[in-house]
Amino acid sequence: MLNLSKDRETAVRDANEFVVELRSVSKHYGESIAVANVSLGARRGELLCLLGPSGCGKTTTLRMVAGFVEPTSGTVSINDIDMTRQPPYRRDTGMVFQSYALFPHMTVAENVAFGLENLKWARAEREERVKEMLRLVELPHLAERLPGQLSGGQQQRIALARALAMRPSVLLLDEPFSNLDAQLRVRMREELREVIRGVDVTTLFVTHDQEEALTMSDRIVVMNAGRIEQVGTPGEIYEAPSTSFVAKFIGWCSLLDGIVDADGTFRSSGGLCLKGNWSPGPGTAVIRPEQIRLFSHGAKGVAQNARVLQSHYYGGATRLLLDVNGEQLTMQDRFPFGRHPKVGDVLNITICIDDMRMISAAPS
Amino acid sequence: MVLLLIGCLVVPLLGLLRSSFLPGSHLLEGSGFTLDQYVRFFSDSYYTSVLVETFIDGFIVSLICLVIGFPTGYSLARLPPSARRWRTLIVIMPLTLSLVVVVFGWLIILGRNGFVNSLLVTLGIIPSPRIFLFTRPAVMIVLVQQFLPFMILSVMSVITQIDPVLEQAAANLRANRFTTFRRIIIPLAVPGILVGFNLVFVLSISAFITPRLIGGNRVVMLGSLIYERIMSELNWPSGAAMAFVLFVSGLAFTAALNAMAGSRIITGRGRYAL
Amino acid sequence: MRSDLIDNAMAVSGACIRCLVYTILALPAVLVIVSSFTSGETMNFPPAGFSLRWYQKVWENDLFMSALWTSTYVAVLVALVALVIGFASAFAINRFSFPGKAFLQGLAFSPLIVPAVVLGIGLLQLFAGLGLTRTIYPLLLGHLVLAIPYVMRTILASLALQQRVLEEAAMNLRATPLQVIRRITLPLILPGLLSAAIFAFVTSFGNVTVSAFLTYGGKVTLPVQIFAYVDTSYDPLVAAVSSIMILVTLSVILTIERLIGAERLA
Repeated sequence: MLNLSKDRETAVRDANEFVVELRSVSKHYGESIAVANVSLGARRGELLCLLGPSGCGKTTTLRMVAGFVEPTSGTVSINDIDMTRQPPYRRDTGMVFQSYALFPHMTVAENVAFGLENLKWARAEREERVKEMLRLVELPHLAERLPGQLSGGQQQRIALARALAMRPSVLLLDEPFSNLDAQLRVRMREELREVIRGVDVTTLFVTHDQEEALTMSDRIVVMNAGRIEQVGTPGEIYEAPSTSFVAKFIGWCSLLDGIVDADGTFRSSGGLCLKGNWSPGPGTAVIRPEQIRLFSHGAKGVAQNARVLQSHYYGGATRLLLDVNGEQLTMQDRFPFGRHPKVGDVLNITICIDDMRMISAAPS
Repeated sequence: MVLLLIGCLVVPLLGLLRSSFLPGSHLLEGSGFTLDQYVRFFSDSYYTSVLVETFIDGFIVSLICLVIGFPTGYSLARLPPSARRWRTLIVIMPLTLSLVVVVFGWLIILGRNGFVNSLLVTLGIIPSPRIFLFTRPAVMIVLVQQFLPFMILSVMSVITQIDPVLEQAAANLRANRFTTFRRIIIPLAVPGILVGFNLVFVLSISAFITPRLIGGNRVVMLGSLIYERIMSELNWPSGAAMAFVLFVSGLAFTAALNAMAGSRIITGRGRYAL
Repeated sequence: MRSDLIDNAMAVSGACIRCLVYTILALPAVLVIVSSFTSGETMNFPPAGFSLRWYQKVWENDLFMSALWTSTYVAVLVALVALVIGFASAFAINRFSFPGKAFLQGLAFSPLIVPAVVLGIGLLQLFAGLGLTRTIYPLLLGHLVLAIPYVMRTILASLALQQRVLEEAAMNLRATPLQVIRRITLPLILPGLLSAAIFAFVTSFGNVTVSAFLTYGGKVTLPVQIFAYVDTSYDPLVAAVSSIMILVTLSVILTIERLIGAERLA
């Protein structure tokens, strides 16, 4: 995946391996801009996730790939063929809708066969394929049921079977887990990933749930306000966020604004000082809760005093809001039973700066 | 559809408007352009009194429909679907049933040897049958029954859009049922009430089957006058003029109600703002 | 205490009013049916004895029987035509935005604000001018105008209820727009279409206020025939004819109720 405006060379070199590619795509609704100049591509067999808060344009982007929304400008191509002005039914995509959109008046088997009929498959092949797909999602016994008689998880699997039956070049998933309860969601996530890996289909996947994105994707496109904030593997997105929006949206963190001195030391505007080796200039330090630890002898780093402002017990861990030299930081750790810090306690902590991310302020 | 509605709705209305300006008193034999028909209508005290009485009747019918239709529509909206089923059927039945059949039913009820008379005589309330037909109240009762469903359904549809939680909140804030009704439900139901009132009024003032069959020659309303003029006397220009007076008064009433709904005085929001 | 009194008073008066309303609404139809089984010669209440003789008389009465067929014939035609016109217009209004859409929508519901008498006279004069009074067209077109608003409302409501995402899913599964309409849209709104057609049928079948002005080649519809008959005489024959009409209407609205639920009849 690439941001073409930044990295043209790579874009040209890799263009051929993209199954889906969007070039400078924008969508305006009157005055409001849903998607602004988005360029991205999904490589063959890759699971690419569009992640962002609601209203960030990720669903609009997905619908432009499926052909339900026509871009105001830019092009959408699938398998290197320009599809921008093609109607949805001429595009080689299979979509799983947020509400699944199973046809209530057709049986499960009829739903799965619907796309194959439109592709003019012969009856025998059709029936064979439907059986195969139902086996794939492990629901062959439900073939003659109506969608209304299925549970949410079953409906989702049928919707997946229906979309994959046509062997589309691209599988599109629009918030596929949002209608499921929390436990089922985790299970279906694993199942779905398994199935998609098994059939090796290029997948575009929209979600607002960072955990879903981190566990399922090969690469993540973080979107905000119609624009792409960052593209990268889950590790890159989490460990090396390139903007403070990404840092805050993915996982829990404290952001400190400040300046890096000529000797590489970061001084926050609140007065906290961290010795490091960053390049000089204004910047924002991203401090993850797990980077703050209780100080013990022999540990690297400098001990600091921290006053506990808030304490939240989560069972497996306790999350503390600390006052460190006038800056508020969040830490998360597991404390021995009976030794949980209370509000007002003063702890001796150390901030692990080794893998700490410093976002340089854009020169403006 | 556009062609159909223009050809069979707009064109006939325009044709009617044209013939109301024709002179003469038989079919469409006259020619030229005159206001004679309208002048004659408004200068004859018989016609103007029919017009006024028709409006008064229509208003009273609408008012009665509102008073008895509101509680019914309200309860219908708040009932569980299973209990709502047969009640809704009873409300809809008179709407779909042919008007003449309903009116004929009322002849059986109100007739000299009819249901009410035999009930009252059997119970010993009156010694001998009385005449209920051919009176203004009889006509109005029948009109109320015919058009009540419109009011009930209008009220019902607006009440279903009011969240019952609002009433619970009012009760929680120590409002009794009457206060809740007056301060919460009625203000929010104003749009539905106006729609129902409008429908019933316009339908009542243009009724002609009911006044003719229930009221006979004694109770004349504008609608029956027009029917008589056109079908019996074949005086088309005069009938057309009357029909237009009727049409325009209906439109004027609708416009007046809409203006009221638009003004902030009687809407829920208006109350709050005042 | 005072609040309790008020609450109780409201509950009691509300119950009384509802009781009265349902009685008044149902009474005429019930009494018509009861009276139609009389064995007597006149319309006295309570009816004298029980017999089906008046139904037999209706069967033998050419005037009423031919009016019944005329009514049925016209109503079926109206239902079919109204359905086609109504679906096409409602689909266009629901799915597309085009110049004049608001006008089309307003026009579709405009027959509701024109009093039936006015519409009836207007049509009579128009068709008299065209020399078509002896054909079926005046009745047919007049009833169509009356039925259109109801048909449009029913179809628009079922189109609005139907989920657009199902059509998108079908398109994603390579169905062309025509296939989408045939295999997804139409089957899903079928109950709505049927009830729209039935609405059009009852509207036409029961109408008297417009039909009274539009006879068809000397033939009249059943309600108009009843109107003319009751205008001059009053006997159990009409009770029997009316009972037939009640039966037809009742079975029709029960069918719609089955199709789309009583809620949405309104």
